[in-house]
Amino acid sequence: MVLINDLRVTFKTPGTDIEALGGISFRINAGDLCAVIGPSGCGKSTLLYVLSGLQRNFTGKVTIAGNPVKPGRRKTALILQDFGLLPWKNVFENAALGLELRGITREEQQQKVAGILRDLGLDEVRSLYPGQLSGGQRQRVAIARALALDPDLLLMDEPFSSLDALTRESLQDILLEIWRRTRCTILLVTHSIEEATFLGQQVVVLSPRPGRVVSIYMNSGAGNKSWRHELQFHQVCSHLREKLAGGIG
Amino acid sequence: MRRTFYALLSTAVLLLLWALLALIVNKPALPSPVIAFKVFFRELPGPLWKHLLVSAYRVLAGIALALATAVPLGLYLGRNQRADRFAAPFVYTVYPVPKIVLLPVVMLLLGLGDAAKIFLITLVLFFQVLIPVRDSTRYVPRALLDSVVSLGAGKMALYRHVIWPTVLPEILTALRVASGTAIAVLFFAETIACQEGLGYYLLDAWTRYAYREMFAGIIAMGLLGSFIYVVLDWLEHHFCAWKYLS
Repeated sequence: MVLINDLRVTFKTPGTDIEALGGISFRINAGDLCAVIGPSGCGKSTLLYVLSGLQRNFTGKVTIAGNPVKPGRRKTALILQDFGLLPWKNVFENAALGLELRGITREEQQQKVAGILRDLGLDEVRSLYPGQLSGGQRQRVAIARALALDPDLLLMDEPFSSLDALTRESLQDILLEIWRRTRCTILLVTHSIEEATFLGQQVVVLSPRPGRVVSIYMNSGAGNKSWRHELQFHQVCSHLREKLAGGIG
Repeated sequence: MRRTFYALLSTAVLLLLWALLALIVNKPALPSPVIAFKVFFRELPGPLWKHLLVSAYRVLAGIALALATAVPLGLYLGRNQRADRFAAPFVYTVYPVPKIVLLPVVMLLLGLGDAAKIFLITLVLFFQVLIPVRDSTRYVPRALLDSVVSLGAGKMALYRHVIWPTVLPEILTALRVASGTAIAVLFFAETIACQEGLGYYLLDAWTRYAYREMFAGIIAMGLLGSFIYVVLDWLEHHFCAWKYLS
């Protein structure tokens, strides 16, 4: 589904060039849930920007479903760190924005979005504005907006990092359910070891800037809600912590 | 309801202070509000109404023209760094010059009629609207733009869904600040070689030492200002409702 080969991104700034990604390669099979973990500033977000087509200055080969990555791919959905909701649109309008931009009629938007909002427990707040919602609700709206587009590739940048522990866990569970139901490919970027271990069937560990792949861990336990309570879960966390520290050392 | 109550309360306090001051000063130059309002309502059906309408027309036309020119230009400059680099020196040189000093030139070119006065108001408002529109366009949060682009927005859709809603409250705030200046400039423009408008009415009363009429004119000017303010307030609550949520 996603193939990344020797991806390098360098930001030109006055004075020096900053290398954000120093040649990374890995692949994600269709329908897999992959977590990328690394220290702050290792280029995790840059990776998502490249995959979503927003960052076009890179070298190396990046393909999605066999085609070179390019802006405006209709089946790719991106959820950014601070959710990117528009404060002047209510929950429904925010969730329907992608459909609106694609010229889908109001009725179809209504049909499509109403079901998604119901599934995510947002039915009651559909006419509230982002400023009136809790962090968890805002994140669910961002997910609803992405799902409305029927994506086959969902890119998420630190989606749950600003939430409290319980909200975070419930949203991780929701994400698992969505993933199981839609079977879309998910790439999730995080700095939380527990989150990567719980969600990622494949965990890619990056080094500090310039980001390079330190290790790829096939995490067969992930994909079940009960996984976070198992003993092995904590062993995987320790293992990844060592890899992460190794990358830093 | 609450807003109306406070508006009435503050008007009452203002009138009370005025009455007290008039009592203390006790000179014909400062008539009490009771007398001033009596004269205002006596004059209103007559010449004062006509002057008020003429002034209102000039201010509103000036606002409309300034919006029609400054808003599109500000939106454009805010998103095009190169064009802004070219325009900025011009803007910053002309902006601080008090536009009223251009009145003789403007009158020479546009004559003594409405056109010169409207142009002057437009000129004053133009810069006061242009700069906040350009700046708020430029500083639209990057994450908002990126996330909407990733949903498939083109250039026009970005303006419509992201940039315009960000800029609109700024425009209304700028207008609120600038409308006071606009009325002051209008007053000045109407006192020179002019036979119509509140500026003329005020200056005429002043030179005749008709202080009661002068204050009737001041009341009319105050009402014109508050009318614009109330309209802007309504627009903001109507079109930017999301800013006023609890």
